[in-house]
Amino acid sequence: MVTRPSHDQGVNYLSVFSNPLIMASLSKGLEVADLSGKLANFADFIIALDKKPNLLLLNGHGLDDKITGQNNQVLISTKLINKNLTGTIIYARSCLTANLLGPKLITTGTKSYIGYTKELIIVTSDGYDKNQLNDPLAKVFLEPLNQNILELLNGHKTITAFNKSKSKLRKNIRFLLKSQIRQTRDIAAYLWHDHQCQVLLGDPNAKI
Amino acid sequence: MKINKIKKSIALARIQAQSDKIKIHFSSGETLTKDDIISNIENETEIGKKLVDLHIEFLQDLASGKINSDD
Repeated sequence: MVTRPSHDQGVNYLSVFSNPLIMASLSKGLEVADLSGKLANFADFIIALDKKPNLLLLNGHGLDDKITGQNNQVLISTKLINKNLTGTIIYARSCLTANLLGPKLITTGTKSYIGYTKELIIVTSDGYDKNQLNDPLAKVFLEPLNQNILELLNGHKTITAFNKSKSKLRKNIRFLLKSQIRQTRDIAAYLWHDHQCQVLLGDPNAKI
Repeated sequence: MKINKIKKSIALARIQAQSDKIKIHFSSGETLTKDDIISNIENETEIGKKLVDLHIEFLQDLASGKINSDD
């Protein structure tokens, strides 16, 4: 299952960069519940959870104790844990949820949880509003994050997915730092921040 | 708490050198231009303080070799 609200520029980038992951899932014959835009609401989320998905990609805004969907409607909070999240692997592309929500989900049976302990930051270039997948800066930030899901789809453990994602983040940081253009080099600070706050909770050996 | 003046000037210098043609998106919902970031740091807002910390931590980790050795 993927939730991908699109009510502001930041989450819209996350939504668009989820498209290749949906395509990769479908090409492997997997069923995908795609809660895009208005469908990323609480009611549709609960209905989709009834099918007990084994992998959830949650794009959205978050706080320590909650993650939201379209127009910041809360989908999961520490006070509202759906039983169908037991046994799942969750990757939450939002800020802060690895502080309280992730640990709470692990204690209630979610197998593993990849998330962020601080703000997740994405830098994008102007002029790509209608062609976001080709935005060279957005690619530097979001392709390493997509690696978490791609590795899981390839049957790897969450620890492998997590490490590959972090490795790709470091590779891109070094790429930026080697740039002859100072404006490009300085952006590495934001990518390093994302690298440092991405964490894995729960069972590192979990697979979908 | 006020931002340390030296840290603030270092962060501002780095941000002023950034391109005008980029946007920074925070997963809390804010999207900031370069001018927005400078304003937030100059006014010492919460997000401005976080951005100063982010740039200073990056420089510290770069200087310590952590960024190039963290495999």
